Amino acid sequence: MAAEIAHTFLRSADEHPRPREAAAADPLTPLVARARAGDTTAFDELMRATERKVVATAWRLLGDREDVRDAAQEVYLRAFKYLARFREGEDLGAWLYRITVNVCRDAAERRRRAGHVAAASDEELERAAAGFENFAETGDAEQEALRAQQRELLRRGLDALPERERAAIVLRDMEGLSTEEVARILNTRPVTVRSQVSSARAKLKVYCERLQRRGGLR
Amino acid sequence: MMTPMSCGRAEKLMPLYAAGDLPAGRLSRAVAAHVAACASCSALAGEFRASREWVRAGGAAPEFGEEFYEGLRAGVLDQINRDTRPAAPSRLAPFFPALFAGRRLAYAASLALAACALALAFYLFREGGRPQHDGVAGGPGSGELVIPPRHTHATPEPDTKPGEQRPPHAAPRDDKQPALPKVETVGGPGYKRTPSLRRSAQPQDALPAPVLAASANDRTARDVAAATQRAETAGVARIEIQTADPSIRIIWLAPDDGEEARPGSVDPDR
Repeated sequence: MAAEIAHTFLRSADEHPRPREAAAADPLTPLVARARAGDTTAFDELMRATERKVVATAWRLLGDREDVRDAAQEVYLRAFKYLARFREGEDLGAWLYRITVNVCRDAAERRRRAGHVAAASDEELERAAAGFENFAETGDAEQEALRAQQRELLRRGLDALPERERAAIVLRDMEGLSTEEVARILNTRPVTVRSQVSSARAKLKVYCERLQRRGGLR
Repeated sequence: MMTPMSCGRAEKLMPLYAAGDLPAGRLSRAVAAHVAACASCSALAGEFRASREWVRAGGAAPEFGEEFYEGLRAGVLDQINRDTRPAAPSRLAPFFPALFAGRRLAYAASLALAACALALAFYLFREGGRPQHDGVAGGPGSGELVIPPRHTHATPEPDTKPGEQRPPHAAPRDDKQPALPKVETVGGPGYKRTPSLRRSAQPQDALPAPVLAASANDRTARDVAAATQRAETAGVARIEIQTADPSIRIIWLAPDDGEEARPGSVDPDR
């Protein structure tokens, strides 16, 4: 059952689910009701059904395994604490996205204040850029290593974006949510989301070109 | 006929156009027409698409492994079992969903609390700033009872001289009992309205025995003493008002025939 539920929640990015339609027959609803009453077994099932999405989103926003673990834990603790405020008929996925974005925003802020964000070194940029160009020619192990490098570089590119733009582009381009869904999650208007996403895409394009140029210099 | 779009305008819209985020309509058609006609903008659209693909590919989350998720769940449940309990839904929530959504209730409660605090502060301010007359009404010159500021904290000795008989109704002298203040009528030279006289929270039983307000001079004291004595024998109503200052008491003598007698201004011949 958990696998079915997870499948419902983990819809592919291209489907662009509509939360209100999806909520009508949400198989998570009974679990939510039981968890609300304090049933931790139901909450455990709820976590199993949603954890991969929460962790993936947290990773895209934070990019660090340990930070992701802490953030995901905080997301579920908040979810359990405020489950009573979750309105029936509301989309649980969107609600969890909202909590995840808020938790990750707090975590990123703490990290920034602590000065944990380091700029990518030139050598790292060149290595990753070279891998980006020759990706198809490399073997499996090497490809995995290059993916890891690219993820790290993308994370740094995302870190350089303003908070709101980062959340908007992660939800829109990486999670594959529609502009309207992103607007609901971020509690803003679709036109604002479009503006934020547009700005973020332009900045990431420049960042991407910079990587390619460095790769081309080798 | 559609107006041709400039390259500058198309470039600004390109991040949205390349991802299909421009709302379908005139603007979207105009950008499409421009991109089809302009090689430079067409190349730019391609660059945006490639960049977006790179972001999507790079944004694929790594596999964290089942152990990671088990640890996550165990940590959450452990924490929940230790100290977190779900917030109980309010019984009123089903009836006022709009009010109970999010933190609106908390905001409303805070607002109500702030309003109450403001109202209380305003009331206290008004009460504290307003002179209390304790039933002794009237303005200056109307015979209103006033206490000069210099007597509010003073504890002067009663105006009885050695050998002089104290009025029979006066309280027996007690060293522990505060001395009586002087009370005078308005109209006397140099007297002002008292800034504030508050009602005493002290019950009348707890007050010292009925005392006679002393006047600024011996004659007034004698007059009041005589009037009080006569009032007691004639059944005249006697009203005592204790002020906030425990050493100040206002005595009001009201004859039965309805005519008022004012303390300190009693006609001794009456």
